[in-house]
Amino acid sequence: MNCQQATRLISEAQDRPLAVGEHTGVRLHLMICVNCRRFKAQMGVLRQATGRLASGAAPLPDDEPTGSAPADAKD
Amino acid sequence: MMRELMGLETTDICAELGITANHCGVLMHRARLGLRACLGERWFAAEDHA
Repeated sequence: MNCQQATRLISEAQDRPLAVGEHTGVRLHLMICVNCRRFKAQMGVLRQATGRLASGAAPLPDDEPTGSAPADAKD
Repeated sequence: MMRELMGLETTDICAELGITANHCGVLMHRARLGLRACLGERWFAAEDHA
C-alpha cells in the first residue's frame, strides 16, 4: 500500500468502517510511514476543530462590516 | 460541510447530492486535503511569521 492509498483510506475511515483488509493494510503502512501517521493525526485535529465549530464552542471571528465589497470578492 | 458541520451520514449526503459512495469519498478526501493545506499555509505557517 502506498501513501496515496493509505491517506485515502484514512480519510474514508472518518466516514465509514474500513473492511478488514483495508484496516490491516493501513495499520501496516502506518507502522512504517511517519508521514501518514502525521496525516492521520491531522485528520483527527480537523474533525475535532470542525466539531467544536459545529457545536458553537469555537465562535468564528466577527466578519468585517460589509460596506463596499472588495473588488475581487467572489460569491 | 454537510458531513462535518451538519453531521450528516455519507449515505444521506450521497442521496441528497445524487452521487455514488465512491464519488463522495473522493470529494471528502479532496476537501480534507484542501483544508489541511490551507490551514498549514495560512494558519500554522502564518504563526511562525507573526
